[in-house]
Amino acid sequence: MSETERDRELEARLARAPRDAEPARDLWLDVARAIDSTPALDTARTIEPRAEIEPAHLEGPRRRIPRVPLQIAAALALFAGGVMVGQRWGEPAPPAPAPESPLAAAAEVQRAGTEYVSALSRLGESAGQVERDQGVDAALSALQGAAYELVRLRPDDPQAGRILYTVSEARADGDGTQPTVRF
Amino acid sequence: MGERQVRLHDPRAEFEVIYREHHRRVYAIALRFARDPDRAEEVVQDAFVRAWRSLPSFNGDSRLSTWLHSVAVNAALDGVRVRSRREARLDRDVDLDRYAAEVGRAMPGADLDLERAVASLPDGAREIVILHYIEGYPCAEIAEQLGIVEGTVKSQLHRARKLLKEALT
Repeated sequence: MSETERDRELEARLARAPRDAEPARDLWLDVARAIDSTPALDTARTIEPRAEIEPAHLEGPRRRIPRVPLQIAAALALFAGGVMVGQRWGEPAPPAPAPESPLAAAAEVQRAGTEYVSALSRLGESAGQVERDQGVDAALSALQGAAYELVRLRPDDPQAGRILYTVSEARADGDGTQPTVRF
Repeated sequence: MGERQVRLHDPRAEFEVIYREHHRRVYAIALRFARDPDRAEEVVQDAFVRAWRSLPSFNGDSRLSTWLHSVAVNAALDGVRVRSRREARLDRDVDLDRYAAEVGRAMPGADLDLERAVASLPDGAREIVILHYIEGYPCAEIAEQLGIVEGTVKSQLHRARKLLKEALT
């Protein structure tokens, strides 16, 4: 049999592979529980200043839905990070358009991003090592949440998936522990 | 499979219908990517939660099944990559016997020798083989999905075919 024929035979076998698989149990119950615990988007505004963020569990038992309100806030911050490239740190955020403006949401994202980056800038200037480490972990946690929300906003966008992957990798590249970060 | 219009009068009930229609396809993708039934279940959950959150913004430009499939593939890629990297650091191997047993149970009639051979491929090549030969994605779309050039996809396919033929002889 020639190499071409062997290739064709292999491709035919692959093409016949089943595309459906029946899970061993009904996963709808897990999915339903997860979507029932998904809060509405506007709960991002209810974040308490001492909220606790636990890093996403990258292994172990079933993955639970991340802490959405904090992550939504973080998503706003990440979007702004991209928008404000070229903008000087510490410069006051631009005035917000009127609420009915189509730019209002983008301006809100930009303001949140400015605050996020400014906080990181201050952390680098003044904090001690312990505070800095904790701040970096908090920043990565927020980035991961933001990346997750990017995926939520554009679930079929591979770029968004790669951002989430990269940030999750950055977090997993720590010491392997799952620290709890407090604001 | 008929296409469902996304008009959610009772969103949760309607979404359950969507889940029931599509979960087997999503689980098959997840299982092949994860090579582990537990992690595959996590991927399925993640994919449908992403879909649930994004359903209101689904604009109908593509078929629901196509969109959901894309969401599932992204969820599988994200979940499996993060976990496989972590497990590689912990020096954990994939349990191919357990995987093959699950394939045999979940996909009656599957070619288990072939499934084992595909599961044994190196990470990048395995993903591409699944997407191209089993899921039917064109090379250009896989390249976009994975953020690599199309030539890399083709060379990975060439390499994968060689490895598969060796494994199956």
